[in-house]
Amino acid sequence: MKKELLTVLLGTAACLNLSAAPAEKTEVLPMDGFAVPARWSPAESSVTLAKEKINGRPTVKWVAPIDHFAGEKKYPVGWPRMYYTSFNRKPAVLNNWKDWDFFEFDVRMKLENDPKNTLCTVSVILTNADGTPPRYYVSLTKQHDGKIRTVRIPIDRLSNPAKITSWGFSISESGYKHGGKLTVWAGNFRLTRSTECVVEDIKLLTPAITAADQAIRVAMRISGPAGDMARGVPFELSCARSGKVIRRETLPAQRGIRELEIETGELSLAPGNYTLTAFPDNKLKAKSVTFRVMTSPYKVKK
Amino acid sequence: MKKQSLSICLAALGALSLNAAPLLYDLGSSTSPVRKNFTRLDAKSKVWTQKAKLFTGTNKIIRQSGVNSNGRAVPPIYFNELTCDHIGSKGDAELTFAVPDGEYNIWILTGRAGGNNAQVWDIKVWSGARRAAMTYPGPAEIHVLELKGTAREGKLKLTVITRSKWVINAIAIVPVKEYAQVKKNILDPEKAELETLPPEILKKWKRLPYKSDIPEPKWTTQEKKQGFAIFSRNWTEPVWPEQFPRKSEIGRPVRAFTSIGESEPLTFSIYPLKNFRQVTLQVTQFVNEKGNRLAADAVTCRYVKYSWVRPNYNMTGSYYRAPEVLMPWSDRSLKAKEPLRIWLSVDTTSHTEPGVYRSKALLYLDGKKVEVPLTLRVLPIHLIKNPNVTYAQYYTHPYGNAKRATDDFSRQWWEKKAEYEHAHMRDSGQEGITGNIWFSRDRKTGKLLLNFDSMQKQIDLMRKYGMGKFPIPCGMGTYALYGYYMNGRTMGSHIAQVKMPPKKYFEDVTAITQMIENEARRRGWPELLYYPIDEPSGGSNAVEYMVEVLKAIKKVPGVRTYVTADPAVGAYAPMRPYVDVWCCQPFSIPKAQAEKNMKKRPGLEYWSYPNHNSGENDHTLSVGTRMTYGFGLWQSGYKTLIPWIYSSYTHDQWNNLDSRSADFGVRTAPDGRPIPTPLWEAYREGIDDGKYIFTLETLIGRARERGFAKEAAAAQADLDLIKNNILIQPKYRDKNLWAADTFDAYRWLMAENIMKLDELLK
Repeated sequence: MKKELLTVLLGTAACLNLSAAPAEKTEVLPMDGFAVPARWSPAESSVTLAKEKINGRPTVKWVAPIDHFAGEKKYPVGWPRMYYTSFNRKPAVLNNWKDWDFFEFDVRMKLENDPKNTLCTVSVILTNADGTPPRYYVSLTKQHDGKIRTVRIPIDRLSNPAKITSWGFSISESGYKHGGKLTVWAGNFRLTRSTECVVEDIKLLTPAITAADQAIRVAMRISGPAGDMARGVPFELSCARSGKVIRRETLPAQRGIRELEIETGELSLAPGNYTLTAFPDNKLKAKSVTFRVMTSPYKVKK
Repeated sequence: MKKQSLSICLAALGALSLNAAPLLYDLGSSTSPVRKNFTRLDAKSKVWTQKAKLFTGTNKIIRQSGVNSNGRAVPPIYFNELTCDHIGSKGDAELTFAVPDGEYNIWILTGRAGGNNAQVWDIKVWSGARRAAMTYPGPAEIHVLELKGTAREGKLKLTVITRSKWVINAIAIVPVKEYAQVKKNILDPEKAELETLPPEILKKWKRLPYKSDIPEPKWTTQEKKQGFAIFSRNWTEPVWPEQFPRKSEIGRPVRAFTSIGESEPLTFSIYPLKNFRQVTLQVTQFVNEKGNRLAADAVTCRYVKYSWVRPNYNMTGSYYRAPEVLMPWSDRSLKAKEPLRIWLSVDTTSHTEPGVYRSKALLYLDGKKVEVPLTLRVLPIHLIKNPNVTYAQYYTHPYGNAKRATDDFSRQWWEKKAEYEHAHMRDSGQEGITGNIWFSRDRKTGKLLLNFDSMQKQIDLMRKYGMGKFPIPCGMGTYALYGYYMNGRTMGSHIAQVKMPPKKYFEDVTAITQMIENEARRRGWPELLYYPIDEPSGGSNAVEYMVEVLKAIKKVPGVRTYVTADPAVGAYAPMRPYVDVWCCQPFSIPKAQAEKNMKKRPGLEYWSYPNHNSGENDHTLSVGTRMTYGFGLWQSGYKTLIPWIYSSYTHDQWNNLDSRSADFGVRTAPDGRPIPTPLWEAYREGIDDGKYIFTLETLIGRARERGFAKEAAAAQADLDLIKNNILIQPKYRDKNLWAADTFDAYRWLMAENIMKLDELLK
């Protein structure tokens, strides 16, 4: 498996093309095994190999005719769906995703004979050994119709990514008009991960605090090899207006989505705007957010 | 452990002859199975020394799952040997046990009697001057009473009295010295089973782990020595049973600010590093810098109860422990490493003087006194509620059970419960509830069956509690009438199986709607929103039926229809011309579009039933709930929030795991008063956020009118800052939300602006 993985990594165009940007060094493991129609189990729908490849990669075409009177007797308005459960069939598709950052694929959708439908949704369901299926929703609106989009599912959202048991697509016919037809092209399936510690995304959970509060909180998605995490993520807190640095410190990092509390109580921040920057010394990796400090509700003017 | 338990069991059996050790009795019939460790006590026993007429009730022992209408396995109400039968009475009784003189602990199991949903059970047990009591409704609730008793001259007497009916399933009489061990090995496991599931069933369910990002703090020498730390976390964020406090939360001041007339939560928690047998709590009166005091009853003390819950109300097979209900405070013990959150609600009134009020929570942990300073700043502002938005509740009216009750005590209990709940809703900013006018035709005679009096009684109560202006979504008898016209057929779940009824059916719907509307106008009722079907499926047959039934209703001039479906879903497009009020879970129509649509068609409104915030699934989404009710509603364009449901009990309100669906929402105390949840308090606080927004918007408008353009613009800029920082979502749950403190920071930003503009406009 290791050898196969290495070959795949070296052969990945995305990896080579983007090697100049440290924040975008990405390893990619194609998962073309998902583009084999015979390995899917469709219900109230059909799946074939698409003639039109998405981004040049093998693609499956899933067609769900909307029929409010056929299907399961008890639920004529049902749930057209298809699931991939053939992880063990040779050649095996990797089902241990724990060392990867994202599961990605590209998707194009088309809805026919349902002109008044302004929003329809396809669920992407992943089941792992824990039996808890996280759902991701891919929406199709008029503006998306026919366009290719990338679905990017963070692995850290799965409770047990070490053993994926099935995944697939499902729609609820109740959201569609009888006689309509939904076609989904999905391809370029892949697992991806960053080759070094990067903050993929940083969000302030406290865009505003009062001077009475003791800390700010941020949510970050950190990618990269586990070994790189030990060095932590350097942060800089500065005054937004003057740029004056108030504090620099390196805080422990872990892969995945993490909430971090950064104490500010002892800094006695005056009311105003402040900037928090991760990787302040690396322009390509730097990510910043700004927050506001209000006066304290408990400091009463006499 | 098993061995120890067995030896106690043997000791208990031995006690029957020696009368010197624990007596454990399983009450019931003379033939029913008897619980291991217990001995039979039937109505013929000599223990009953005085008695009114006793009855023996029996239920089958149920250990297997049931099956719901969709063929899915669902947990039943489980009965074991203790709960499968009981002895009870409508009158008083006396039991006398022959035991050696001395002090005893008495443990009594009462409940799960089956039968009428409307029955309210009431039991008070006296042992000398000591007593224990419980009142509870329905067929499934079960409680333990504990009291002490003294045996003299070889006798221990228990007197049982009731205001309605009582039942007892089991009694344990245990010498005080042995009680701790018997309780731990026999009685507590019995209680735990009744609060969750039988052990062999629970073993098959998966306990979902709680994952916390918070590392264990480095405890100080002082904390280690005293064995605990006090910490304070914003009330919007739950304190989980397996969670450490954050470093910044330890020793953080317990304080809040409020406007005049608001109620505000003040919470703090104890993190025990060791076990404590008893924690008691007192709160001193709040006094401000001028010596003004808040009323002695301004503070309500509660603690957060951890419950075993399911991930969704109709999901089975997995469970976890969550902070869920705000129980009235009672002295309690602490288990090492399990935090206890104390939740104080502080009420101000319209007469409260502004200022900084201070008080102390006095805790005694195994006798050691700890003072926690409390601060409440009352701001000199009065908030204004936006009259264009409304908050209401789906509601199961207690009057239904009051009507079905077979004794006066039960009837009055349900009626009082309705009063308490209406007062609670009003005091929390709720302005209305759902209603229902059932109708049908007699299958044989075709006579119309229609009753207005129940609705009248409900409207009278709504009016009494200031809810008289709310347009009432009113369920109708369309299902029953369908059966009449379609030879007993049903429409299936969400009318998925509906077949188009004859034209006469729709003509009848029009005629009956007209009758209801005439009567409603004659009686001066608030507007009724005609609500023929709940959550119709989007299937073509269902939509075609909906179009016809809505058309039939709208033939009556001036009436509006109410539909619980998502207006953004294409399948419902044919219904759009006939729906006046769309109510769905998400804010699915963007604000600008919603406002444009409503402006274009007077009478059209978008409402939301945010069940993702009601506890239907996750019981801990306080932050998302506060967002939905305040800032989220503000930026949605929707007019009303009306979650399902104020209280949802399928049987025992304290057991979330048994029966077909879990219990959630506001609970009921023995006297019928409501017991709120953190989610309920999040409704209230979200509504208050909305009041801050509307008050500021109003003052900005007034300032502009009065020529204070610069000041108005500055305040508007702050309001815009808040608006631009909202990550607008159809459903606010737990993702992409501000941290709890930011809600208060923004509230404070608005409060500062309100105070400035108030001063300016004086």
